Amino acid sequence: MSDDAYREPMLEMFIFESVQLIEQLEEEVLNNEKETGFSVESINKIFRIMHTIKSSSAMMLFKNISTLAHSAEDLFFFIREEKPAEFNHSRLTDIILSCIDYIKTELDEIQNGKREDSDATELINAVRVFLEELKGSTQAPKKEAPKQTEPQKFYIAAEKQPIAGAKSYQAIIFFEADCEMENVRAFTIVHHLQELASDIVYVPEDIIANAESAQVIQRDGFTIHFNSASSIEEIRSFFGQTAFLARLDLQEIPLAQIPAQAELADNVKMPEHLTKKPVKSESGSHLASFISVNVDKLDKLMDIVGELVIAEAMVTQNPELEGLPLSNYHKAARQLKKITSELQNIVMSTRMVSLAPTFRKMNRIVRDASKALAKEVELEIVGEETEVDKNIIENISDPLMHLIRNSVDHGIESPAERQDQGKPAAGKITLEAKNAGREVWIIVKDDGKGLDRAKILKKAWENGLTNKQEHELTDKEIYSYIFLPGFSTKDQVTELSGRGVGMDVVTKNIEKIGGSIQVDSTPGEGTVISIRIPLTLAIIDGMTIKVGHSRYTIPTTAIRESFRAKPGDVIIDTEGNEMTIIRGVCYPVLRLYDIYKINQAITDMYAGITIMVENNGKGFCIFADELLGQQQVVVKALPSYIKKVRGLAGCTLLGDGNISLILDVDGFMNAYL
Amino acid sequence: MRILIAEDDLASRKYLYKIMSAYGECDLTVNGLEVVEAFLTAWDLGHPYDLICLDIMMPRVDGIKALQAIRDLERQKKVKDEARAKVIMITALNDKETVFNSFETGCEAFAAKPVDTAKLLEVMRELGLKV
Repeated sequence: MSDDAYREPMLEMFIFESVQLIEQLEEEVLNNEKETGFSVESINKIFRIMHTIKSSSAMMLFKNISTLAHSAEDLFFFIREEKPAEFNHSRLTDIILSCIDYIKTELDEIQNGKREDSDATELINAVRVFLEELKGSTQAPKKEAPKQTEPQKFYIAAEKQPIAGAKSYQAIIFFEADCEMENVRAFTIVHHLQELASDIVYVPEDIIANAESAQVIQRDGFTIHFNSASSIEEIRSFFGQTAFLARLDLQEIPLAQIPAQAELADNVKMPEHLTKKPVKSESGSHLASFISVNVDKLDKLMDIVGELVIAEAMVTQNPELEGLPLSNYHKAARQLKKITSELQNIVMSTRMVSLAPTFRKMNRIVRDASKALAKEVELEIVGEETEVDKNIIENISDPLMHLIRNSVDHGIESPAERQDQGKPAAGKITLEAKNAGREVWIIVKDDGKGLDRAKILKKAWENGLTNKQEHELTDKEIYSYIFLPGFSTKDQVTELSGRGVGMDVVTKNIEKIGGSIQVDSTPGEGTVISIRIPLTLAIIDGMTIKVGHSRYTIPTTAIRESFRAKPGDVIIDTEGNEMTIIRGVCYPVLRLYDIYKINQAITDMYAGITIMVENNGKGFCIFADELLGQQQVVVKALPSYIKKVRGLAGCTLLGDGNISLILDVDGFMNAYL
Repeated sequence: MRILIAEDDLASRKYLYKIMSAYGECDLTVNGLEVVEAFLTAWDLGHPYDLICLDIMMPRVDGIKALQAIRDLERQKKVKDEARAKVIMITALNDKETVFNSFETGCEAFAAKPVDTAKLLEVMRELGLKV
């Protein structure tokens, strides 16, 4: 069963809570390892978390989890009470982490609809053996874990999922005035209704026992609430078969709002001693300030806002309005524009998720990797509160994991090597996130040995990635070869970060979310890998330009400046490439009409406009007819019947109904430079 | 073992009766008021119930209120916690509030309909009933 499938609220809550607890637990354990040794508070905290998990999983009848959590609880109870002076902290961490991993996998599988328990005996035994060893080494009198004081509750999940798409209905039935025996007729309806509906509740309720109910039905109608998987039409046709039916009010009501019979018919009074103590409802005291929303709905909302942005442009920039004196219209249009952009910002912000959980996961990666490689590595996290689009979170996790592993494996040296170089024995990896304009930067920095320029270049030649000579390439260009497929400078393959098949996957993943990746390195001091990701992919700020009858949009973030070239600004090199020099730096000039074969465009370099764009620190100039204006555009994929055009990221609809092609600056550069 | 089944829906009642009658003597009730009456009668006769299966959506007095009444009565009679009747709510309501209300009011277990018979029996075993 997939994620969006219906799950019982109790199960949902169990999964949600347990996942959170497990994350807390993992963090606590990893923090403790850093401080070498478990503090009294964290022993307490781990004990409490294990206790909670044990109880709640026992309640939900997930025996394997609860037994495992129980044995872990016992272990920490012992440590808390007996305070054994000497024990192997690292082994304890390993054991508790493997428990965490097991529970995590179990929770995942429960989430995917699995019901059977898998075997945890081995782990439980490992925990018990460790506990026995501890007990053996402590001379103190043994206290047994106290018997459970609070009684265990059980929740039995429904055997099969309730019928998907069950809806609640309310039907009010009026009989013809002279049909008589309304109560018996009403009962017959209820009886037959049971075939296609469940949870039937009706008013008046005492239809058989009380003959007077016939008059009530005659006067107020007969009200039935019920749940059914049938459509409203089917329900209507069912009621349509009723004899002497005068009128039927049938409507769908929100699910689970069917009141209990006693509440629906409040004419029934409870005996005094039963009503004295009303059932306390907890729901009032902690009002939910968060609700969970299906991501599909948010995606759809985003799409609709995108359409709205286009529609707004089509109205306010309608060519038919051109030249008309419409001052009030423009006022109203400005108001509309303001509201649309506010709406867009809010919709975008609902999709924003903090990077913190993703970043915290990296603690574990660093721990496992450094342990496997016998290195000492410390992870520093900066700016974890930075928020990015949910889609980006999903795509960023794997690449980050890879980069971090790589840093531990290839970047950080062994403690001995580091001390020889006068560095602290423990290496340091900094994982940083920050907002920069409409982009998010994620930076992975290590203080290891840095990239080996000569070695990378040699590998690049060997693998035929380049044939340029060393002096032709900048450091950054050389370092960027590590992101190409099939590249590894590590002579020996390690099990951890492998043979470098990963780095190009990292690049691909980052590119998929519209980001770019850069690497910089200083030998002996470390490597910095920066990932730049746009905040959102759906709507971008773009400059629309005109070439002949075609329109193109360049992302505003890429544009550095635009100017009209004067005679003498553009020079031609020996191979016929056009160049221009801006503030002493030489940039190639590309004529868009030439590249995309557009007729009727301005060909005179001094009559059109030249736009300088920059990407990944490399700049070039685009020659076009004129600038049309800056606006927010909604990125649409190119239709599938157009085969992949190099240098284009998609298209968008302009206010005047024209289609504009969105330039993918990075792809454009790779394709035509 | 003495078992009380409270369920207003005929089909569910028959189903529960079929399962439970294998383990003890079952009494059947159809609303919350009858539950309380049956509970009191059983006490008067000196054979209190060991297990009570309560539906929540029942006419007249709903299951949670009936449960509340049972627990209050047990407190009045100074029944020890271990000797209390075991109560399993069996209902189609499965929202969090209902489940927690039930637990707070004092039921031992909560089974969502349709009932998973194997797990129900497992829980009865866990509750120390002879199954």
